[in-house]
Amino acid sequence: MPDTLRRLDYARRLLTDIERSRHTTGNRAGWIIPLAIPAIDSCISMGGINAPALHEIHGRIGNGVATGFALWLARQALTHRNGSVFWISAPHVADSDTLYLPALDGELQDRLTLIEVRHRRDILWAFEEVLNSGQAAAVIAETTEINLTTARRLQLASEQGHCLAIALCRSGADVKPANSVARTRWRGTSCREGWLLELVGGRGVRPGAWKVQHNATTFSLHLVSPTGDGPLSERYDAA
Amino acid sequence: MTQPEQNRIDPDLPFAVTRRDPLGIFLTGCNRKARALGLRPTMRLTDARASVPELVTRTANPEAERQLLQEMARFGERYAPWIAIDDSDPAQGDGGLWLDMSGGTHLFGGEKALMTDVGRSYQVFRCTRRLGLADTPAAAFAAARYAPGAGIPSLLQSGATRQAVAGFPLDALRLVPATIRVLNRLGFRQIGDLYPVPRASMTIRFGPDVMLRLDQILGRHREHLAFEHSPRIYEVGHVWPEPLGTADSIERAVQVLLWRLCQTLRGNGIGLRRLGLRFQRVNNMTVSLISATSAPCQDETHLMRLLRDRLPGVDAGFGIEAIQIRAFQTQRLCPEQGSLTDLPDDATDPDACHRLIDRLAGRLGTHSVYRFARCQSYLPERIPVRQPYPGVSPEKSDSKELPAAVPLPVPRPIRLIQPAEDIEVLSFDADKPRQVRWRRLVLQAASVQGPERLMREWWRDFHLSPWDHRSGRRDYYRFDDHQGHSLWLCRVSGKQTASRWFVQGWFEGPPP
Repeated sequence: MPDTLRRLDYARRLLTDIERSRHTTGNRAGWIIPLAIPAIDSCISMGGINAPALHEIHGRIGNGVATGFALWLARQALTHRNGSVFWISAPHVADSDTLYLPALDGELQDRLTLIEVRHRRDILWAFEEVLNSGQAAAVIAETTEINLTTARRLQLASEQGHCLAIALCRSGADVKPANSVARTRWRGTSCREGWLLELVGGRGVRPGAWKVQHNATTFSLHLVSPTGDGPLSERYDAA
Repeated sequence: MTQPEQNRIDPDLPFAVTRRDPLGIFLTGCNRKARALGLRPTMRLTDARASVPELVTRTANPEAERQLLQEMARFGERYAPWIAIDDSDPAQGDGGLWLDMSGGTHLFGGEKALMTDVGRSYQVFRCTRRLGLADTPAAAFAAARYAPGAGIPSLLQSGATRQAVAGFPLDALRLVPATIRVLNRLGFRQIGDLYPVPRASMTIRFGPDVMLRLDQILGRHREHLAFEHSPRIYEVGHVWPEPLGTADSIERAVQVLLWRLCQTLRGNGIGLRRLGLRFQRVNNMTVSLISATSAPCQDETHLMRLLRDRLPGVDAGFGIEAIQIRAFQTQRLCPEQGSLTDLPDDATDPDACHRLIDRLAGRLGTHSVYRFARCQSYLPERIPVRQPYPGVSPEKSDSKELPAAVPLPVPRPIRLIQPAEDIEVLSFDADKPRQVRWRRLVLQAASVQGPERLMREWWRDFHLSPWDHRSGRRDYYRFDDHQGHSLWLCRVSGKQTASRWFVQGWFEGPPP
């Protein structure tokens, strides 16, 4: 039995290595955005949110965790390559709420280009176009559910343009997101302590849910301790 | 001047153009007959009428004069490409043109022949003409106006300007009348009188102007003229003997024409900003298309890509027999050096970025690509302003800087609802909402923060009645419940109305 386990472990590691190496397209290496929380990073075989790839974040009406998480990822992507952040929105996809720009920090405000799309069919066109162009470090598109074919196209486009693609989907609280080929799929809701991030699916991930706090000054994420004492690192910093 | 018959003035009558200024009505231009009777420009109309009662006058129309001069300048392009308009002294009522004929007179059979030719061909404008040719623009000016023998083309021999202009009056120097008056009083009558005067004493007494003008007329100082350049029109077109009917053939035709246009643009270092296409159908109807780019562009592949989406919208009808492509707006294009490092970094290529923006703006509309700018206002929904992406709308200035982002004293919601939604507050806890009903959900408060009072600026929205909820004062609360809602509530209370509650946005999560 231990032998089987060892072989399984070996196979897992091999798979991870293959995934990582496949990930370098041409001579340009991809990058990985770690959430810097070992508990979460260890659940993703790549060790973080990898790019270029498509990721899905599902959000709910009534709190902006999904938006905040997507912007946090875009901000991290800016540290890995230069380019701007594109935000694609369509008035009919979102409820009646829009991204409120004064809430963002200065650097993100400067590097954000907004694209407003009038028709539903143009969202994916614009999404693919921006991804393909290679001008963006990250592209966030507010869409409804994306199907398998679309997701695959977006994945290819993001590899072509070498940037992080984030689909920000609006779904109800109890609706299980449909299958997709996004590399990771998250659901962001709010809890009393801060963000409740659920890793609901993806490739090479172990699903889980974590309570996370976002520090708006240092732009870092902390895990909330289950005992309710607040993030550990903050207490260490204070000490 | 070409005028309709009934407006034409008999050249045998004294005629003058008048100009009205705060001091009265003055003459600006007089015809030969009026001059012979002693009338001069800058004379008062009343004085002129007193001496010549039969004087015919018209009010000056500077716009038309300028237009006529421009027309004359264009007419003169047959002689030289460098033509400048001289309208420095509108009070004198006469305009002038400078033709830079350097190295080109032999094409017209020498200087004398050229002047005869110019004099004859400008007859079509039916104006009194005086011609002068000299080594410097200032000397030519003087020769045309002050050379002895009115009306005869005066030619100052090359290299002999100094002697030739020495006998001209000081008015030929284009100085301020007051200066000329003083100089005359001091005994300087002719330009030649100024030659022996030391430069320093003249400059101390009259400023640098007198010597500058003298230098210009003698060619010691270069004079800069504002040369008129008629804008070059970049246009290609083709007429087909057999009308084009299929989308494929139209696309091919446009491609070929675009290539020809871009070849011309590349040869001239010009980039295209706005492109117009005109398709002429066999039944004489025309269809047109306009496309714009955010940066000057010479690349037909990119232009074709912009047009490819729009070409299917062209209704060919029974066939298209002519296509015209015209550059409506162009811009000088400086070739830029690419990055010297060998890092494959597409993001630093501004061209690629502009191409992307063009494609997006071309399909989604110019207003759909924008950046964030900040408006100074207290009301949260007013702060973000859409700023068109630099270069997307050619009419807007491209150099407008984005104001620096200022951190807000209190956190703002990450998503804003526009327009704000009504919400029903079911119960209160010391003036703060405890239970609210929003979208058929009853939410129990876990924590409520606030209020933060914001008001509209008093200098705005005068048109709002006091009953309008936008005119009231607003108290903002941050409302969190246990189900993960993190709302930004707002109470609006007017002077004469009951307060109303709204949801205006939601936060990332509960406050830390």
